[in-house]
Amino acid sequence: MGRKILFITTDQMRYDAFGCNGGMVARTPVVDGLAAQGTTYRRCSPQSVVCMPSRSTIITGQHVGTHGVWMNGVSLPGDAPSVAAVLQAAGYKTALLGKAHFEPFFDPFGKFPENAMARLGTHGPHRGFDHMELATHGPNGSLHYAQWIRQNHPEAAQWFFPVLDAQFDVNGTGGGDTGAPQAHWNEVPREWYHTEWIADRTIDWLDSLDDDADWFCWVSFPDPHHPWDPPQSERGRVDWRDLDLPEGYIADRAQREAVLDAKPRHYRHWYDGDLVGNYEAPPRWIPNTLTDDQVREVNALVHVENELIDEAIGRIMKRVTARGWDNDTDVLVTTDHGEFQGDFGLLFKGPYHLDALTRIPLIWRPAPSAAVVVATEVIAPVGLVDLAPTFCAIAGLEAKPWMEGKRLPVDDAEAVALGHVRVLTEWDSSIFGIDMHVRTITRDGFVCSAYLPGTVHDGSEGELYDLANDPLQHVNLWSDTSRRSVRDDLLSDLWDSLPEQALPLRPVEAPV
Amino acid sequence: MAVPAAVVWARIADAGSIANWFPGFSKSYMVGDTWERRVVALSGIETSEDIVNVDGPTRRLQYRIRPNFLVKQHLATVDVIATSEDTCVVTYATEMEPRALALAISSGTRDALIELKRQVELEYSGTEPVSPHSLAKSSPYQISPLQNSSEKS
Repeated sequence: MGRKILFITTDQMRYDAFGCNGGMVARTPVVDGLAAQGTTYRRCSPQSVVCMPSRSTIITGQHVGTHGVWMNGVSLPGDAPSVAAVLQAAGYKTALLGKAHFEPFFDPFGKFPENAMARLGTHGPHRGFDHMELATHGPNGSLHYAQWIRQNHPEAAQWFFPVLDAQFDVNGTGGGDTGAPQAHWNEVPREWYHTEWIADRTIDWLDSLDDDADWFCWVSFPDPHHPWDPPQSERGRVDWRDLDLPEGYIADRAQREAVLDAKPRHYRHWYDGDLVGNYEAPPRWIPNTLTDDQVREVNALVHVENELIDEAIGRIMKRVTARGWDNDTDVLVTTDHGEFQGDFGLLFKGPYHLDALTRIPLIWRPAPSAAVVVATEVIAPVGLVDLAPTFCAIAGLEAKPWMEGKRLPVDDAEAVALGHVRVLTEWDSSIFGIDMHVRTITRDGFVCSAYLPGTVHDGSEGELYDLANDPLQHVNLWSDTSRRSVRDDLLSDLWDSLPEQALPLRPVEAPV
Repeated sequence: MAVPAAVVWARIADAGSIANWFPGFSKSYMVGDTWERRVVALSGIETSEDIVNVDGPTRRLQYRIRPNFLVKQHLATVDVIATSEDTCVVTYATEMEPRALALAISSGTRDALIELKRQVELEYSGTEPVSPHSLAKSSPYQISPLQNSSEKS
């Protein structure tokens, strides 16, 4: 019997969501407890700040330019490399419960297998997973959760906030108490909510396994991604009126706008409603209308969703323990990318490689039986690209040659030995006539982003932040001549380190 | 396509048989003696369309999807343009709202052109007699992708 792997992801979660990462509101004792038994990575970055490219990096262990899922709506080929397939071939039982999103959700022709499974009454196998039961943010679409709730609780379908509007754009309609976009108290009972359903399906799958099975279980919660519509029964957990404004939100409008003006021009264009350069933000919502109370309410809803996730993980861990597996189980908790959640007066995500989106939680609790000695925290930069080789290492397998990351270090000394010096993040989008291209390196306490020529940028703009002296990233040092050598060194490393982008780019087959 | 324009046009102009070469459709038929076409997608979505133009001399077919819960307005134009006696170019253009749906529609029409080219070139080469139905079996929309992902090395 080998080490089992419980891999837990959330969707669009900030670094500071958990108490172990400095979160002060949501109570997350389960994840905090896992962190206390293992290690917390203080500088983990996704290789993309939107779902499909980031998730494709997790499963392939490749940078975005290599796996080719360069924006949402581009599907990962069914025969793409898969760490799940590697583990499956080594005898692991494998499952993915929750949000996969390697293939577009938007699928009117029924092209993609992820969408076809529930319709056909199947659960895989697919992409190396023996078993898949899939969900996204609500009751729409053709995934297993949507089908389940529509069949068993049809009245609930109307209670969720619609992620997309009638134009199939991201819905900017306000709700909740404050009119914040995508804020909504959901009448759905907690036990029907997707977080609970995913925990239930995970427990059922674990219960289907023999006691001596080795398994890799990816539990993928769709929250706290918008819509922010947790069950209203949980409303009493966090009252938005009691919340302080988040540290990243600059309450003074003039100061906020001055900070935005020092960043590449698309920030201010978006903030003023002049340009929405990507599909993932609502085109009919203007960020400069965001109020202090709306920021508070969105944060409250997110905190509630994060508490529900933590409790769902607790239920799964309890079952793992009851099966006698806890001592042999590695648990990793992370997300696919972050969320502005009010920072700089912004919500959602897009071509903005700031910590709100690019610094994400990553916690690894090694199997106690493995007696792996880990530091309480690792400062060195790591990425989601490093997960696939880590899963291989846990399973006692060599990383595959197609994997571009390195296994996670157990401490900062090993990080140096393994070469965890930098982490890279890419953005490419081309939609509705607007092209954006960003490349980012995080290294030596700096984040440096280069904007390639596109619809808005001429190739001369960028961002450089000193994370030690300016953790809130207010001061863009890109044009500071005293930091020119730092900037040039980081850019040189960025261009040297980025894998060559696979061309031609694969077609966009849906908006998301 | 390495096929005379007239051969391709015959397939296009047989509007009720679009499901034979459009991988996203499981079924298609003309409604009685009208210009209404119904198509059923593999997703199960059934759509009514109006064939608004079948112009043999210019080899142009146009149709509109009737407005429904997905589509606000739509006009598709398929043109078959002869480039020599034995070759042609086929364009499949769509104008529609909402714009977000156009991305998915264009994915479907792109796949349809690839499948149409494959079928007509295979058929025209005369290497083997093939029925449209059997040809469609090899389309990328079959549920066969639900197989194990092979480990690459």
